[in-house]
Amino acid sequence: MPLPGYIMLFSSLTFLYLFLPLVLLGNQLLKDKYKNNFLLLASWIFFAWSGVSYLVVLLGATVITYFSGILVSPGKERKSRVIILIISIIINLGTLVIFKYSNFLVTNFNLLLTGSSDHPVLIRKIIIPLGISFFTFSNISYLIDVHRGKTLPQRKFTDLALYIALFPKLSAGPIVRYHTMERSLAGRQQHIVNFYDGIKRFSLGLFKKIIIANQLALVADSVFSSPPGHLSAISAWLGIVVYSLQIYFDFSAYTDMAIGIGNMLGFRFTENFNFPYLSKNITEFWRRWHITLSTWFRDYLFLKLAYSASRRWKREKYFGLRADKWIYMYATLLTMCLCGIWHGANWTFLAWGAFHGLFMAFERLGLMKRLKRLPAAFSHIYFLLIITVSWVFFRSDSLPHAFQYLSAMAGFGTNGKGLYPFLEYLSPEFCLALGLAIPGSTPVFQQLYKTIYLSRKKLPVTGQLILRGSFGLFTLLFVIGSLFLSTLYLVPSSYNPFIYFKF
Amino acid sequence: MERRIKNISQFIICLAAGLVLAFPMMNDVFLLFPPGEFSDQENRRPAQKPVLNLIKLDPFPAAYDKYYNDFFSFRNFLLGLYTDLKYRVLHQSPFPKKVITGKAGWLFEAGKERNIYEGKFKPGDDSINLIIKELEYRTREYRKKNTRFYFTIAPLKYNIYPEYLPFYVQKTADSTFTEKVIARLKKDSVIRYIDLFTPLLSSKTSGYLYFCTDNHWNPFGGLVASEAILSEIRKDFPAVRPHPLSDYRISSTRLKWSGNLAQMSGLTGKTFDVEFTLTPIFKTRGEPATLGGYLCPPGFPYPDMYEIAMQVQDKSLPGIVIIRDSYFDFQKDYMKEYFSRSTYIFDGWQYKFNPEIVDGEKPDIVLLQVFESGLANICDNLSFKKK
Repeated sequence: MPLPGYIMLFSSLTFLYLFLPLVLLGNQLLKDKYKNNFLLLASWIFFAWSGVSYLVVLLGATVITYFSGILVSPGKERKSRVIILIISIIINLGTLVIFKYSNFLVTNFNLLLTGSSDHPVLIRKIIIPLGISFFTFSNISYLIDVHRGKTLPQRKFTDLALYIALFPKLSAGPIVRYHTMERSLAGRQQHIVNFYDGIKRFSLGLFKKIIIANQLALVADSVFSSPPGHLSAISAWLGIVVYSLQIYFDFSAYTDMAIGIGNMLGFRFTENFNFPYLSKNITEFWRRWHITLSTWFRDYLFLKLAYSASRRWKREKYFGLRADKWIYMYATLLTMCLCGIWHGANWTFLAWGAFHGLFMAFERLGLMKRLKRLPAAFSHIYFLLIITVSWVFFRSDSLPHAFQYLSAMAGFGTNGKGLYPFLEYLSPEFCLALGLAIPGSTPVFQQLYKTIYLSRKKLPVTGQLILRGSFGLFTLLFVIGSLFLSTLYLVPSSYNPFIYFKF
Repeated sequence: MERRIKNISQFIICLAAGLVLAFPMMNDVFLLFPPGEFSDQENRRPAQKPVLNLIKLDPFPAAYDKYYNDFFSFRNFLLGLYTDLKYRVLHQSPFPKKVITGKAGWLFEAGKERNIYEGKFKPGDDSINLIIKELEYRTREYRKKNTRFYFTIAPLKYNIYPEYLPFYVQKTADSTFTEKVIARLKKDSVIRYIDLFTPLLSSKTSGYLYFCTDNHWNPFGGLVASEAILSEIRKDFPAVRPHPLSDYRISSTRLKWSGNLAQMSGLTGKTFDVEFTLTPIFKTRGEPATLGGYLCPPGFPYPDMYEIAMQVQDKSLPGIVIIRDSYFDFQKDYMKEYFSRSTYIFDGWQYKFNPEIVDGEKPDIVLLQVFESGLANICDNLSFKKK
C-alpha cells in the first residue's frame, strides 16, 4: 500500500533545522490571538509536504466535521442529530476506506473473482494522505463526544481545524481527544518549563529513533528480507526479538517527539506508552501500548458493541458459558480485528489483531486467573512469547511469509548457517542500541534518576546544589548531544555517491 | 538557591537547544561560516533549488528537501566527522550499502559486485544462452569481414583477493553467474575466450594487482592481463611479440591515495593505497592516431573517452578494435605498442557489436573486454536477434 509520496519526518534535516525553528520562533514572537492561525498554517504546510493536492482531503474532512459538530450538538432534534452523526461518520470513514483500503479491496476482489492475477477491476494506485487514520479517528471522537454532550462544539473553524491538523500529532498520533486540547486551543501559557520539558522529551525521542530504533532496524530488516525458508531458528528469533524492540522504540520515539513539540508549543498531549513490555498478559499490554488508540477503540467501538450485544443476548448462558463472556469475546474479537486492519491494509494486520483478540478472550475465559496463580516470571514469559509471535504477523509482507517465518522460528528453516549472514550488522552501534534498548524498555533509567534525585535530601546543602547542577549539566549534554548525534547520522542520508558520474 | 539553579539550568538548556536548532538557518542567512562547496566525490550534480510553481506544487517538497539536504550548512564538516567516526573509530564502512570494508584497509563495492561474487546475482539460464549465442554470432559476423574476434572478462576484485573480504561475505551458491558463463565459453568451439582469472591469480605473489581503495586493477594488474591477452593473440598473429615483465622497471610506493571506493565512502584523502609505476626500459613506439569520429552513445558521462586511437609505424603488425570499459585504462599503455592501429571504444558499458566501427576500421582483430559486473549487459544489445 503506497504511503504518502513524501513525508516531512521529525527526524529529517528539513524539519529539524528549518520547519521546527521557524515554527517555534513564530509561536514565541506572535501575539496570542495570531498563534492558532499561525500553527494551523504551519500544520497545513507540514501536511502538504506529503502531497499538496491532498490538502483537499484534509480540508474536506475538516469542513464536514466542523458543520456536523455544530449540527449534532445536544439541544437539537434527536433523530436529525443521530442521522447527521451517522452520515458524518460514514463520510469520514468512507474517506479513510477509499484512500487506505481501495487498493487492498480491489486486489482481493479481483483475486476472489478470478482466482488468479487477472484484473477485471482496475484502479489507479492510490496514495494515502498523511495521517488520514489519525485525523479520521480524531474527527469521529470529536463528533461522538459532541453528540454525547461530553464537549461543546467548536464554533471557531480555525480552532477545530488546528485540533484536527496540529502537525506534531498529525502523522503518527497520539490520538488526542478534543476535550484534552480544548483549553489549550482557547489560550496557552508559554512558560519556559513547558519549553524545557518539550525539548528534553523531543531530544529523547530523536535519540531513541536515530540511535536505537534505526540501528535495530538494520538487523530486523536484513532478517525479514531473507527468504524465511533459509533462516535458522536462531536467526529468526534474533530478527523478531530485535524487531519487537525496534517497533517499540520507533513508535514511542515518534510519540516522544510529538509530545515534546506539543509541549514546546504550549500543548499537553496524552501519553501513548507505559512500558508495554512489562505487561504480564495481552490485556494489560493494550493498557500500556498505543494507549490513545486502545482507549479510542474501547470508548467508541468495544463498549458500544458490548452494550448492543447485551441488549440482544438476553439469556444467562449460551452453550454452558455465561452470556457476558460471550459478549466480551464477540466485542473483543471484532474490535481487535478492526484495530488490526486500522494499522494497514493487509491480511497480516487483520491476523495480528485477531491473534491479540483471541488471546485477550482466552485471558478473560480463565487464562488470566491461572497466570495470576503462577509466579510473575511465568506470566512475563507467556506474554513475551505471545507478543513476539504476534509481531511476526505485523512485520511480514504477507500471511504465507508470516507462517514461513513462524516455521523458521520453530526450527523448520533449511539454512544451517545460523547467525552468520546477520553478523554483518552486529556492529558496535547495534550492540550499543541493543544495550540501551533492553533496559530502556523498562523503567530502569527513570528509577535510577528518581533514586538519585530523592537521595539529594540526605546530602548537605552544597551537595544538593552540586547534584542539581550535575543534573542540569547532564540534561544539557543529553539534549545537545542527541541533536548533534542525530544530525551526524542524518546528514549522510543525503550523501549519494555514484561510482561513475551521474547527471 | 536550588530552585534558582534549576531555573538557570532550564534557561541555559532551552537557549542552547534553540541555538543549535536555529544555527544552520542563521548561518544560511548571515553567512557566519562560509558555505562549503558541494563535494565532487559524489560524482553527481547537486540538486537545484526548485522554483515554486503555484500551478504545480506537488513536486516542490521533495525537490526542496533534496536541495536543502545537499546544501545543508556544515554538511561537509558533518560528513567528514561521520566518516571518521565510522571508519577510524568503529572500523566500519561509512556507507555499507555502497562499499564494504575488508581486511587491511581493502574496500569492495557492495552492490552488484558483491551479489555476483556471492552468487546472488541470477539473471537466469536464458541469459547465459543469449550471451553465448551473441558471442558466437559476433565471431561469425566478424569472420565474414576477415576479422578475428576475442572475448575476455576482467575479474572482480572479489575473485582475485577473497582473502581480504570480511568474514560475512561468502559465496552462497555452488557456482556464480560468471562461473557458469565461463564454463560454457570453455566448452564452446566457436568463441575465442581469453582467461584472465588464472594469470591474475598466479601473479598475486609478484605484487598487488588491484587497488585497495578502488574496484579496478592497478597498472600491474593491467600489465598481467595485457600479457595474457597478447600471448593468446600471438597464436594467430606471430608478429605480435609482447615484451616480458623484465622489460619494465616496476616501482611501488604506499601513499595517501583514495580510489573510487574510498570516494564513494566519503574517505577521500583519508586512505592509503599502493601506487605502481611501470616504466618500460625499451623504446616505446605507440603514438596517438587520427580518430575515426564515431558517434558517442547519448548520455555517456565520459564522451572524451568514447574513442581513443593509437598507432605504431609498422605495417607488419595487425590492426585492432577493442570494445572496452574503464578497466582498459590501465592497459592502454601496454597494448598500444603491438598493433599498427588500435581503436579503443568505450561504449558506456553496452559492449555492442558496433559493426559501423568495424567497417570503418577494417581491423584484423576485435577484442571485447567486459568487466565481470557488466557481463549480463551483453543481453541488452543482442545483434543476432536484430538480424
